[in-house]
Amino acid sequence: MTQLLLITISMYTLAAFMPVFFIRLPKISRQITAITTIVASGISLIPAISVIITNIPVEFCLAWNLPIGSFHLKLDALSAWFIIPLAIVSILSCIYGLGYRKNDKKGLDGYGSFLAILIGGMFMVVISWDGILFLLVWELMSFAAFFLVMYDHQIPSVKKAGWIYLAATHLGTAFLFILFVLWSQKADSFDFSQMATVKEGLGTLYILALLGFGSKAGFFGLHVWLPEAHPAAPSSVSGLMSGIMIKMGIYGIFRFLYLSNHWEIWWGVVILAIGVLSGLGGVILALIQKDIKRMLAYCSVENIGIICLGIGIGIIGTSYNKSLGLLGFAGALFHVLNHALFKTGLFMGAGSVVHATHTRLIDKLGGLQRKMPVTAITFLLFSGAICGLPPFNGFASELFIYLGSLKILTSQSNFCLPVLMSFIAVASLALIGGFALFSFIKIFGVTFLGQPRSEVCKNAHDPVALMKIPMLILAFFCILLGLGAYFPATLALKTAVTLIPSTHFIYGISLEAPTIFWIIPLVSLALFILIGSTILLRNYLQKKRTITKGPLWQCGYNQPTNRMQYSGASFSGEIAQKPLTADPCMKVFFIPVFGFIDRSLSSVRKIQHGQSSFYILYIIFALLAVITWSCIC
Amino acid sequence: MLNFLSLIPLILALFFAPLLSGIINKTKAWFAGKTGPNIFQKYKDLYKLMLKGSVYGENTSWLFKAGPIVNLAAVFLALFFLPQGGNVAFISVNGDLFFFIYLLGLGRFFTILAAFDTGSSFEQMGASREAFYSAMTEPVLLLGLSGLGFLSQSMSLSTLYMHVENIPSLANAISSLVFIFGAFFIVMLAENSRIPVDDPTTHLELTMIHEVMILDHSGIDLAFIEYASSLKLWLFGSLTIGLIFRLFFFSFWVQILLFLVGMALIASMIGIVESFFARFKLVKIPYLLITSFVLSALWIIWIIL
Repeated sequence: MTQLLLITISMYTLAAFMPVFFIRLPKISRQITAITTIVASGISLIPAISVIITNIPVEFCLAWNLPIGSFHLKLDALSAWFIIPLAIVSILSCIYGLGYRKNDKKGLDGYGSFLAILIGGMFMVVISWDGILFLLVWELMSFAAFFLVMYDHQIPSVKKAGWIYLAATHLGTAFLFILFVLWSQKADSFDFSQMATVKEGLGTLYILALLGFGSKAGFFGLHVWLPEAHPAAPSSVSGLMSGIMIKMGIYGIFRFLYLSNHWEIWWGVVILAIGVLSGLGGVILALIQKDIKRMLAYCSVENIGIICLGIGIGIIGTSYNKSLGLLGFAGALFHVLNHALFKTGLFMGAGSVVHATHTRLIDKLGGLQRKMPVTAITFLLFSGAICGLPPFNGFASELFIYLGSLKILTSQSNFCLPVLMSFIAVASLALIGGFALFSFIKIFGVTFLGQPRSEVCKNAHDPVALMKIPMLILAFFCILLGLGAYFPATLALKTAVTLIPSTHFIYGISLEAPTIFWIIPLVSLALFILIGSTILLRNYLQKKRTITKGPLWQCGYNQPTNRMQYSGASFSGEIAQKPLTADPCMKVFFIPVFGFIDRSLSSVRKIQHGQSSFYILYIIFALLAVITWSCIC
Repeated sequence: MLNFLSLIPLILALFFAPLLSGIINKTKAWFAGKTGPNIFQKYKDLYKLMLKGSVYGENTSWLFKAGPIVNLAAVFLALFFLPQGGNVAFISVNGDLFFFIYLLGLGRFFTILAAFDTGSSFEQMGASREAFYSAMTEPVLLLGLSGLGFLSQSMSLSTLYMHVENIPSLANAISSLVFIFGAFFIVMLAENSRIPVDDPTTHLELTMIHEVMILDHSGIDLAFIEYASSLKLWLFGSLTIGLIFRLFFFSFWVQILLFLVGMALIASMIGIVESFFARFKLVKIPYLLITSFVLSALWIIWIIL
């Protein structure tokens, strides 16, 4: 298994350098790079699946030349849980990307390489077992994503989005630097196994981890880069970024919890509050967007919120009564997997729409389901899944979090903090679900239903097979994980139990998924039978009757035009009269703060004048300073 | 897990659900001093619609036809999770209340999409309102139900509508019931498009919510929609009346009989509300729904303190 890890890593590296070997054959280089990345991701699935089944971690350690840290890799159940969606989503995104860039006249570019680095970076993030290595690959991943966002860098808005992303990701990494430095000082080592022994001062570290990982995950307030970067990136990349890259932030929080051996109840309260804020804030902002990809980006904030609710319920439950939190954690883990699947699918669907119509504004679209049936039906399916409707997979993971909250409620008979928090979780999860339904009906309805609103829809058509197949596969997974939720749910529980610190561990916890997961396929079967028999009944009753087509009821007005349809803006008009263009957090906080920093630091900019002779002087000064420093100390 | 005895109230529900609107209309007519339509009018309407042909709007797709069917199937299936009159439901398993609520959500999802499919701005307007208001009623229901879960220390819809033994103080429970009963009653009115949220009998499309979404459905499809909304009223009615049934226990048949009387009472209560209130202005409806949320939150505070 160790060899497979190393083979995967070297395959990703090989893929990253592949375009260099085929410098004159851009088309072949694209395909070979993609295929190498796909094979690497495929290989990475083998150790992940074996670890998740056997629960025996794979470990590999190598000394390196750096004075600190070591090349320590470890693939445990938690890593494996993240590798599975990573590999699936990467493979499908690579295939989709091939179709997406088929008619791209660009010559040789860095797309394939950076994609391989991004995927390889994420793979390394989840298996690195050393603080320094972790930060290195974290940066590798963030940088690769930056170059992918900048794919269409000729467009000014894309360039702006790229810079916002870069600033945001660095801000987050800065907190991670502080986190790891402080943590390793306490542990006296950068090795995760050593860090896990730290017992004091974990509260501060937790806040740092929330800030650092939260900016990658897109917690509300730190989410400002998502609605900029996701629409700017090519759709094959935005699917990958939104589906799995932001989950690396969630992975970081899980890994932090895994490594800290004592949790406080306020940790859970804080992350639950973040969950409520992200969920509600994300969904309300998603509802009032007019740009399809921007809306999906806000929706990712919402889903991160749902995951945080699960983690919050998990921590609160665990710190109160040890086995109570398990369902919350399992729900969060399951939702990570599910959201990776349907969000990637949604971005692929949105990408196909943008590809066919060259616009992201939903108010120009309409009636696309006749022209793009495959895209429409998969998009509908993903929408159902993301709204948590049975029998799709989103329902199963939300059900888990609901069950976790309800279990806390039913195990306490007196007032206490966990009870209050569970009520808050249930109410906000319901509210988030309702508004998610609202916003996805809007996005699907305005784009695919009704009549075309403008000329752009005229030549729309379903994308090529290379783009269709990944969407269909993802749709299949969404149904499969919904109907057969019992098995992934049991695996999620088994993974979740590894999170709980040994000090909290109790024996005799049932690691079977709750019975209701068995009910899901049965009830879904009943639903299909009922739908089928209702159709039969309708057909029977309609057999001898006249079925005609007629004009719609227009209240006596007989010259309606397509532009008189309800637009996206009017659909969500009850929430906000005008669609919002600027993010409120950006407007209220980030632009003023960064403007202030910019103004106050403008005098320092003078030393950055572009004359290399002076730069050499700076280097000499810096070196001298370092030497003096080392002499003094 | 499966309780076959509950098939009896279930079949009763299938038969008696359309009667509720008859009772509502009779009550309204009595208050207005009129004779009113026959109490079995809904059955006659359904029968008439079943025998009719259908007109489908131009440019509508399969979703337009799927809406009524999926909605009926989902609502029908939700009935299997519903404890009626303090009895265990057909399917009863820990956490089934979420399945129940989300099945109704599935039905609503397809109803709204079917309305959107027409491309008529009237129906899309109704779709927008339905989506907005139902997003606000869902938390009320789930908060209320999980509060019942806390009181009864159980996790399935049937048991949390059954047990009274665990309630610390019965008097406390009864007095707090006013809040949750009010909250559920408002949700019932909103979800079933009754006055003061929605007026199904109005003549102006611009002011309608649910009825405007189904303007273009006809024949058997309309019959499916009408029957599904009767069943939905039955579902919400028994969730509301069930709150009172938690406090008593009689033998099975007495329980069923009392339950049917209770449902008739709920229907006449709706009739009374409809006789005394006019439809609210649309902008006021969110306030009404927030009121129901506040009521259920107050109830939660009452029971946990």
